[in-house]
Amino acid sequence: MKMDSSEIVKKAIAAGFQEAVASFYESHSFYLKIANSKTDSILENTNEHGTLFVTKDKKLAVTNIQSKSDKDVKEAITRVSNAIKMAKPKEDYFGIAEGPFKYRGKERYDKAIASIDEQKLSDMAEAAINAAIDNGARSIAGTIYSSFSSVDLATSKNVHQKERFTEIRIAVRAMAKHGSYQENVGTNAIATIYPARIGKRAAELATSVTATGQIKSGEYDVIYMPSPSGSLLSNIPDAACATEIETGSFLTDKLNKEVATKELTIYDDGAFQKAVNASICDAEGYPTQRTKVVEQGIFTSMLHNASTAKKYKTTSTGNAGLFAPSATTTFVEFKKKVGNLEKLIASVDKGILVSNIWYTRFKNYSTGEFSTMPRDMAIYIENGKPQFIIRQKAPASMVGIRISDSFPRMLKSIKKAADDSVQTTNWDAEGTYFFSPSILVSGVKVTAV
Amino acid sequence: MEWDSSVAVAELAVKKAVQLGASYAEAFIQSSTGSSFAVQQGLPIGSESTRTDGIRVRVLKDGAMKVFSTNKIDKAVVQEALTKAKTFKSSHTGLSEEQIVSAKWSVPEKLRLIDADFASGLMEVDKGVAANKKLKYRRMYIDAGVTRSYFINSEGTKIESTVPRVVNGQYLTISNGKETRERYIVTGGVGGYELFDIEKLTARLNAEIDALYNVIKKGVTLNARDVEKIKNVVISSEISGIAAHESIGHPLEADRVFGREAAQAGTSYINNENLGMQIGSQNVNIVDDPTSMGAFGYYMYDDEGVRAKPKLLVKEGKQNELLMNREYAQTLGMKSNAAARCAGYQYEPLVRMSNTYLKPGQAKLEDLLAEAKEGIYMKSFNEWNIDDTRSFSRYQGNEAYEIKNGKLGKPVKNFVLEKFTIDFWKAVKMVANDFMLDLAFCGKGEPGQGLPVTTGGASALLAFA
Repeated sequence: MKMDSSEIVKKAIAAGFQEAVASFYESHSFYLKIANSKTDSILENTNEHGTLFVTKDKKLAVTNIQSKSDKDVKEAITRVSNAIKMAKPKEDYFGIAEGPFKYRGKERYDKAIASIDEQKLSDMAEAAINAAIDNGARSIAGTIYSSFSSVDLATSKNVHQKERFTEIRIAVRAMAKHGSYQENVGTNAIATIYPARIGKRAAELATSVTATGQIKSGEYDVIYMPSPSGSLLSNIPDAACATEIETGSFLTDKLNKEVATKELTIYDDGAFQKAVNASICDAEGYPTQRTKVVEQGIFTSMLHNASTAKKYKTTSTGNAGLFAPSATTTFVEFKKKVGNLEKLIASVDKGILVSNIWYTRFKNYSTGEFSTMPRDMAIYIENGKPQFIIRQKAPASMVGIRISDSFPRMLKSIKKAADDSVQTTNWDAEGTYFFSPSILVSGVKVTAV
Repeated sequence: MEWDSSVAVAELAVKKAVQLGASYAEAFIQSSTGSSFAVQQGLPIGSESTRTDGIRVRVLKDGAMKVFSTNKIDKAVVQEALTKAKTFKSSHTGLSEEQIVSAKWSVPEKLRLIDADFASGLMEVDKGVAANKKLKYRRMYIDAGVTRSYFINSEGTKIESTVPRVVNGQYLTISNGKETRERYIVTGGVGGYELFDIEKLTARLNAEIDALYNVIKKGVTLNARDVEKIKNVVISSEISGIAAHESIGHPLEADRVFGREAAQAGTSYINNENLGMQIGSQNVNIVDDPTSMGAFGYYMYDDEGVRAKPKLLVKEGKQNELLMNREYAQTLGMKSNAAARCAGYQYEPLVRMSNTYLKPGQAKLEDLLAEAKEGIYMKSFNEWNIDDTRSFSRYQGNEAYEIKNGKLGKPVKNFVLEKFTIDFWKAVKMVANDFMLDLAFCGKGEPGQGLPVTTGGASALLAFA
């Protein structure tokens, strides 16, 4: 017999736990890999699994549930009972969210994504590849990911919620003679994704500048396109989570202080309808919401689950994490928009356009100092015009520059933004999405090989 | 599900795939149990106990590789997936011919993980550093478990393994009230609870805290002109190891060399035309060795059923071997050197490193300092990155010292080694006879797979022109 999550919760409470949260997931996904302009392989995964979180006398423990069968649920309760024996009291724990709750929004489900098969994915890959090759790319690599999942969530505090999700994501890296460009598009509605357009845009951008050249180490104005700008600025909601503040993030002791230029507002929003990762509620059933982490330059809110919210005498921001709060989707808004990317480029005297980054690493998390590596096309700009693709040395896909900055400095040095905000991600942040425009940051330290 | 029943499903899957026209099929089942515990600022976060079972089936048909995985190890589920699977346009994948193997291997636990009290152990470590006033923030975790696997393919290979693993990590922030330095230390390996040596770990953490506090208090910050003058840098095994991993191991993974990872984990400065190129000085020998017993990246057979062996990636400065799985061995007309690994049943095996290190030389560390005369000794790092082609890397010094007259001098703050890969390895003038491996999780692929590896080897003197 298969149980639903509320029955699993009842069994856990009957076993002597004071609180319980059970969530059970069913998922089906495909990863299609494109390499050397061909479909390389397809990985299909189907899974049913759950988690059971329990508390007793301020001790916290979690286990997985392999299936909803009586036997597997019983085994999970035995395991979590053993785990809680091992646990020690967490003195600053104040309980899960008390329901019931009213939820806004509706589930993000598209039947066309849920029923996708290898043939359809293969056709989409071919469309993206052909469009990129037809528009000047020499070679294509990438991924098409599709997934359908459902969750059945119940807690011992009057929550029982079911939700379905779908996602499709296309990454196309178009490699041209002198440069490359990677386009990452994700959505929860298949009607809004066009593989041929993605392939075409990737190729057009990869071939948009044909000259190559070198730059010297120094300070430059840097334009981060939406993927790198979102990837970098998503570190702000991450650092605003209560447990990060408690262990010395660069936002520790900065609450209600000015941390950024007044033009900048950064939200964490787990509820936004069009966000791929949106959900009606967080991991303890509390409704997700939009939280202004930075509002007009001021660090206005930490991110909380119910327990950390009680500790700080505030309300949950819908960011549970069972053990700790976690950020959802980052939204970046900048007041001073100059128009499209071309206009932003036109406003730069001497600078660099960065289309993609990876390996963002903290030198010091407490001070927010970091470095990151431009990947794919980086273009040197002078007098408002793109001059050349930066290629410091062979081979062709080597940019050869590194950016060193700190988030406190960067946040105060964003001067302008384009109006090209789009939902995007990148390989370095798999599973994370952000809505961010291209931004212009002044005085960025760049070292060149 | 019972183990024998799971094995039967795996065997049936291979048989069924062949019946349906596969030129090659394999099945891999995995059953893992694990426990973990974490503590932050002395407050326990919680504990976790898991059991995960699953199966992966790989099928090669008409040159196209299809991978199916599920945690429902059930004959009907697997048969349905194989029957429903549709072909897609691809005709380039082949596999090298390999020896048929029947084997069973395991790693012993001196102290059984199932009997261990992780939480008390970790709390003891936490207590052991909590009184150190130089430490401002601390987070620690321990994660341990046993993975049992079974691999079968349509060629007749059958391998069963049981591997226990322990890993614990500590994030430390050291401060004098004005300035901070951070350190992340990971220890553990393949084996039982004996790998979690509380006394030794606590002593190491306190020594590292004291050393980094000393850097804060007494460290000198070099200006750009001083840095420009530095020609000699002695690097510890921690630095030589991360450099060997990032700028030698990764670019020598055959799937990168041949473009399969281009949109994910990147490309390589090595290509089909420059195989055998001179990467470093003749003092540079870099090895990837999965057979190092006890090391975090240890295995006896890879996840394609090929017997593991050490690989000499760089021999006397020249690129020597690529890391290969069966697909790329076939591309090159060679045998696989057993570098196919996966992070679990739900992932495809990729070309991966194991325990990658700079092979020790003859000199003592003191000889390297004496030869350098003036320069910098980098003992640890806390920030690193590298470009898409693995040509331009950076390692940010954490604990580092001046070398004055061939001896260690004052601590140095924030010395950065930022070099073109070839310049870095060609500068290796001497290699010490010391040897140390550090634990790490190496990321690659999509879906991303974090795999246990070690990085390390010997200290070395880099002399830049």
